[in-house]
Amino acid sequence: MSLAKRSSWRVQWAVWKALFHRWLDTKIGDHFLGPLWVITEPLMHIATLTIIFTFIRSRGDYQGIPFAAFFAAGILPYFIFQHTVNKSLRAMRQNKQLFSYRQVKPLDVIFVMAYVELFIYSLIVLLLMWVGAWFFNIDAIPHRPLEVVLIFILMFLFSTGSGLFCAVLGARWEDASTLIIQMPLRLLYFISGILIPMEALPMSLHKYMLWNPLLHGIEQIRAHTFDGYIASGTSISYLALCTVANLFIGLTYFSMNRSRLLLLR
Amino acid sequence: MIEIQNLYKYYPTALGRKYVFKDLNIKIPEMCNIGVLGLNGSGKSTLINLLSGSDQPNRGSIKMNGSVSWPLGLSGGVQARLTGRQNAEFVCRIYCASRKEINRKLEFIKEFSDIEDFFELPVRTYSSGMQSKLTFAMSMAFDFDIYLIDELTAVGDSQFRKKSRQALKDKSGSSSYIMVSHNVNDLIKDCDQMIVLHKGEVKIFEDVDRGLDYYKEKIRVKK
Repeated sequence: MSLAKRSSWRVQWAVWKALFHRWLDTKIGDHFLGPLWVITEPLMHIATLTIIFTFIRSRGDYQGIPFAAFFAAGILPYFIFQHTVNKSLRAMRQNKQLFSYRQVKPLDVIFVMAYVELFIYSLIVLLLMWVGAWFFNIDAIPHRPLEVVLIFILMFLFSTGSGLFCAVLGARWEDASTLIIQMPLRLLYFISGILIPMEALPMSLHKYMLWNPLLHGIEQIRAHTFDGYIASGTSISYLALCTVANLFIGLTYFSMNRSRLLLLR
Repeated sequence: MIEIQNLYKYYPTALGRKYVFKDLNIKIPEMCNIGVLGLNGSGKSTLINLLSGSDQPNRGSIKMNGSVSWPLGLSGGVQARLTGRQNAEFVCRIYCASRKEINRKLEFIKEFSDIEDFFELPVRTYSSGMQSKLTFAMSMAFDFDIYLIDELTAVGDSQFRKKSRQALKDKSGSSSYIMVSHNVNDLIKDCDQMIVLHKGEVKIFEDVDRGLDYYKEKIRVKK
């Protein structure tokens, strides 16, 4: 009796599922601190920012949105991007043993890795929405949920594109990639609209900041979550456009270096 | 039948392209256990990796019908941070269709690997012998047509080697193997045919002893 023949799609699906479980296993780890850290990391960011900004601004809200909810809506989608890019830099080297199995291709690894981030932060979003609405009476349930889901999916695809690009950089120039990618990534945190709404910034800055697709995503999530939030100048279609471009660049660069990625033995 | 046609394989290095195979053409018969002999760096592992599909040729093609295992070697295939069970589960998820089947295979792997409760511990805590037991047990859970063994069976203790040889023999009605080993005696005992690699030349011998003679001659010439 030999192995049953399966269609290509069945195999592909099995690989994605296997990788998904494996990533969850590695992300959560064998210790209770694993899942705890996954939740505390964004919470710590939110708490720190809320405390700092409450002091600086001596008030507790932007446009009537409490700081905690405002920052949560920015940080959680941003983390999908940040974690995917950070991990993809090391992904090829750390997972080279997976490529022993002919069914598993480098593309699958990055794709599923980004999906795991989407999955985890979506769960945390739902959890925080529930906590915020139930216990703190914050109006945290999106008033246009479908758009919010769409933006999260776009953010995930955008991250996948960047992840593919960074995976090749990380595989080819291990040390340099840290400098080229991780330092600017720190900076991106401050200019992606996580901290301050576009409305509160001087108009003269807008035309520069609006190049950043992540800012469009984050501001649009807020606009579709909090009724009446003004996200000036941003749009979902710009994010979608950048996502398509990003995926194109990422996939092209990835496929150009396909054979190199398998060589990391 | 595995048919390799006009295959080129090189690795880019700081000193330019290092060719392992140039215009390789061989036919490897089916249902026949094959030993692979060659000095270090002659391309044994590369050949196994190419056959398994985990590495791609730069040019040329490999045609085969039937399923092949992943390369059963000392390194690769398992992640040190995950437990034996998690690693085994990953492989089962790739090859199995249903949850029930996965559970059955996991049971088999735990039983066969003979590592007892280490199965629930991270692979980094294993000795190299235990790791090879796990890898071998994982491959035995599935009925491949061809097993690609890259010096794996050489590591375990004699008891496990006996067991693994028996397991391969039990499958001999439905599957065969291609085995790389530096232990010539093992190859003579277990294999029907021999592939000899020497400086990019690949020859297949229908008679094991003739293959061995050719190999010895090649090494002598080198001296």
